[in-house]
Amino acid sequence: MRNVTLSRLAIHAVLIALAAFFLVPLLVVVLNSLRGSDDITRTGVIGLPHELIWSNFSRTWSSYCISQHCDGIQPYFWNSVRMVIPATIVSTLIGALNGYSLSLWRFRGDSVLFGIITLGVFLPEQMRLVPWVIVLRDLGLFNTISGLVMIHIIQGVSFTTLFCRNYYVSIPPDLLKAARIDGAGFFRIFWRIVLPLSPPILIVTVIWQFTGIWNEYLYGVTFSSGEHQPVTAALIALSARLSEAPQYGEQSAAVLLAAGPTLLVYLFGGRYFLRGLTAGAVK
Amino acid sequence: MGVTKLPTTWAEFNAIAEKMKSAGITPVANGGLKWDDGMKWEIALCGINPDVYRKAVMELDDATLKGPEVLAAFRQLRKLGDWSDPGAAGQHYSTFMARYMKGEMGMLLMGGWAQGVFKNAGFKFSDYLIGPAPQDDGKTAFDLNSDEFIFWQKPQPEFQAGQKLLAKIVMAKDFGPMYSQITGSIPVRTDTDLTAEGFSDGQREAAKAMAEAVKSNRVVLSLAHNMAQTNQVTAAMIDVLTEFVHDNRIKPEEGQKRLADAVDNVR
Amino acid sequence: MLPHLVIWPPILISCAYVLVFSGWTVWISFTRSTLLPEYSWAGWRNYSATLASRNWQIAYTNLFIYGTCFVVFTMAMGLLLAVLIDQRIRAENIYRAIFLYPLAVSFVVTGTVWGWLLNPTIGLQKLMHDIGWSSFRFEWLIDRDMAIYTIVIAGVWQASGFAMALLLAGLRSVDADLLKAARIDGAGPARIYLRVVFPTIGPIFIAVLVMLLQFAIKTYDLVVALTAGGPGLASTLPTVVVYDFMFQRGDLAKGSAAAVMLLGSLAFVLVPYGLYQRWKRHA
Repeated sequence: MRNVTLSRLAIHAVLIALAAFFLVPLLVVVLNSLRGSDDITRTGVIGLPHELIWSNFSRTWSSYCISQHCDGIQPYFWNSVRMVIPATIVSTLIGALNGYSLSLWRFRGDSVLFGIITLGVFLPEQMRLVPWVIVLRDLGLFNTISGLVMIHIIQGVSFTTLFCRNYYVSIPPDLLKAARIDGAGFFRIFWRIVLPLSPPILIVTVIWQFTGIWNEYLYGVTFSSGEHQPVTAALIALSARLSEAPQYGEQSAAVLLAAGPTLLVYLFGGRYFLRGLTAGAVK
Repeated sequence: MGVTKLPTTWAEFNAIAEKMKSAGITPVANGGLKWDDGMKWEIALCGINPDVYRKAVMELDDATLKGPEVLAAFRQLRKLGDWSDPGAAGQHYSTFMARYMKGEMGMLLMGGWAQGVFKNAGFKFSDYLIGPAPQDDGKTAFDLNSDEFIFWQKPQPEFQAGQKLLAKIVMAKDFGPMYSQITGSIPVRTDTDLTAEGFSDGQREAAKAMAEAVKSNRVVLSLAHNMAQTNQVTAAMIDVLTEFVHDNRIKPEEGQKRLADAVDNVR
Repeated sequence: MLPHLVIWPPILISCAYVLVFSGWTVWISFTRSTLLPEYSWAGWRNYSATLASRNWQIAYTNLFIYGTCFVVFTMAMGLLLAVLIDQRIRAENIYRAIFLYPLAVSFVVTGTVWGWLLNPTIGLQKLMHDIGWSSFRFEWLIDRDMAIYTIVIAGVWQASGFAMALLLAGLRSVDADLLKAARIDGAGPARIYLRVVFPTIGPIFIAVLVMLLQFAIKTYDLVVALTAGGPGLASTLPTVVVYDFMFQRGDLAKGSAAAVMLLGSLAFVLVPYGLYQRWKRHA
C-alpha cells in the first residue's frame, strides 16, 4: 500500500516539475505583457508586474506602429485569418479525397504517386522559395493573400494526404466490397462510408494544418509585403524597430495576440487531437 | 571622465578605451550583427592606412591581404571586440542606445545614420560628440557608404515617367537637407548649404572631409555596406570577420589567414 | 468519368509540384546562377565550393550535435511524459494541455521568448544575480561553444509534446488482453512496460524518431529567432546556410547545391525508413 502511494507521489512530483519547465515561457510572456517596457528593460525579463499595464494589449492590437502603418497588428491578424481558413479547409478536403483514392481504390503506381506526394512533406522550405516566386509571378499572384493561400494548399496537400491515406488503409475492405456489390460508386462510398468514419483524422489534420499555416513565417514574409502580410511577419517587424530599445511589453502582448488562435485550438481541441492520433494517424 | 576631445589615432582611442574600462564604462557601444563586425574591421584598416584598404579590400590584392597593416587591423578588431558588451552578439547597436546616452558605454563606431536613429529616439546633438574615426596618419580619409536608388529597365512609359520623376525629386536641391536632417547622412549634392540648425557639426565636418578626401584620392568604399565588392565576396569576408569577433580564441594571425583564404575561394 | 476528374487533378498537381520544384533546384545547382536564375553549366563547382566553405562545415557539425541531442532528449522527454500521463492521473486534461501547448506556438515565437530567457543581461542569469546568487552563470547564448545547446533546449521544449502525443497514442493502443495476461502472470508495472508495452509501440517509436530527425534537419526559424546563427557563425545550421547563400549572398546556384545536399541528408534518414516500412508490410 505504501509503495503505491509513494510512487503516485513521485509521479505527481515529476509531473509538476516538468509542467513548470513547460509553463515558464508562457508565464513570462503573460506577465511581461502586463508590464511596462521600460520596467522590463531595467529589471529583466523574468519578474512580476508592479502595476498591471493593460494598455500593452490595446496599443499592440490597434495603434502600434509597424513600419509606417500605425494600426497595430489587427489588420495582419485578419490577413492571417483570411489566409488560414480557406487553406486549411481546402487542403484537408483534397487530402481526404487523395487519401481515399490512394488507399481504397488501388491502381497501378498508386504507391509511387503516394510516395512522391509524401516527399513534399520533407522538402526544405528554402529550396521551394525561388520556384514559388516564379510561379506566383507568372500567375500574377505575387503579394496577395490568394497567392499565399494557393501555396499553403498545394504544400498542405502533401501532409493531409499522408495523414488521411494512412488512416484510411485501416478501413476494412469488406465494407467497401459490400457497398460496391450494392451498386455504390466512388462518391457514394466516400459520402456514406468513409466520411462518417473520418472525424478523428480530419480533426488531427485540421488542427495540424491550422497551426502550421497560421505559424508559418518564411513564405508569409517573402510573398507578401506591407499591409498584406500575415501576423507572423508583423510580429517580426514589430520587434525590429531599430530606433529604440526593444519594447518587451508590447512585444509580449503581440506574441500572445498572435499565438492566441492556435493556443485556443490546442486548449479546446487537444483532446480530440490526441484521440485522432490514437485512432491511427500514425502507422 | 574628463574626455573632451575625440581620439585622432588608434593609439589615442585605445588609451581612452583603457581608461573607460577601468572606470567601469564599456568602451565600445557597437552591436554584434554581421555588418557591424565587418564595419569595425574596415574602420580599423582605413584608419591604419586607406591606401592599404584600397588594395586589400577593393582590389583584393593577395600580398596586401597577407601584409602587416591587415594584421594590425585584426589586432585592433580583437581589442574592439573585447571592449564591446559581452552580450553584443546578434544585437543591433540601437539596443545599447539608452546605456550609451546615460554614459554607461563610451564610444560608438558607426556611420551618420546613427545620428538619425538617435534623433528619432529623442536625443539632441548636445547629448553626444560626433567626429571622424581615428586616422593614424592624420590626413583626412573617407570610408564611403551611400544610399542608392536602383531603377529596373521597364518598357512601359508610365513606369519610365515615374522613375524619371523619382530621380528628379531625389536630386532636387531641397531634397538633400530634408532627407539628411532626418537620417544624419550628408546630402549628395555638394552645393547644399549645411548651415541650417537641423544639421550637426558632425555632418558639416564630414561633408568637408569628403570633399577633401575626394581631392586627395583618399576615399574608399565600405565593405560591410556592400559598396566595395559583390555580395559573394563581401559575405565570405564578413563571415570570417564576424566569427573572429565572437570567438576570442582565434588569433589575429589566424584571422588574417582565414580572410585571405576566403578571398581566394571566391576570387 | 466524374471520379477521374476529381481524383486526378489534385494528385497530379501535387506530384508535379514536388517533382518540378526538386528537379528545378537540382538543375540550378549545376548552373552559374547568382542573384537570378541563369541556365549556364557550371559542373560540380557549386558543390565543391559549398563543401569547402567554413559555413557549411560548421553547420554540419552543429547539425550532428543538435540533431543527436534534440532527438535523444525529445524522445526521452516524450516517453517520460507519455508514461506518466498513461498512469491515469486525475488531472490528465490539464497536464496534457500544458505539455501540448508548445506545439501551438510558432518557431519564431519560441526562439524569441527563449532568447529573452537565456539572455545573460535580461534573462535567467540576471534574475539569479538580482536575487543575490551573483556567481550564477548561464551565458550559453553568447558562448561560442554552447550556443548550439540553447537551440537544443528550445527545440526540446517545443517538440516534446508532439513526441508525447504520438507515444501516448501508441501506449493507449496496446492490446488490453496482452496487458491483462501480463498482470495475471504477476508482472510489476516496470516489467510490463519493458516486456509488453515498449516492444508493441516499436513502430511508433521509430516513426517519431524519423519525424524528429527531419524536424531537426529542417530547423530554420528557431535558429534565426534565437541566435541569428551566432555568435558569429557558431550556431548556424545547414538550412540557415542555404538561405544565406541563396538570398544574402545572391548565389542561387551555390544555395541550391547546399539545398540538394540537405535533401541528401534527409534521404539518408527517410529512405531506410521507407524501406523498413515496406519490409514490415511484406513480412
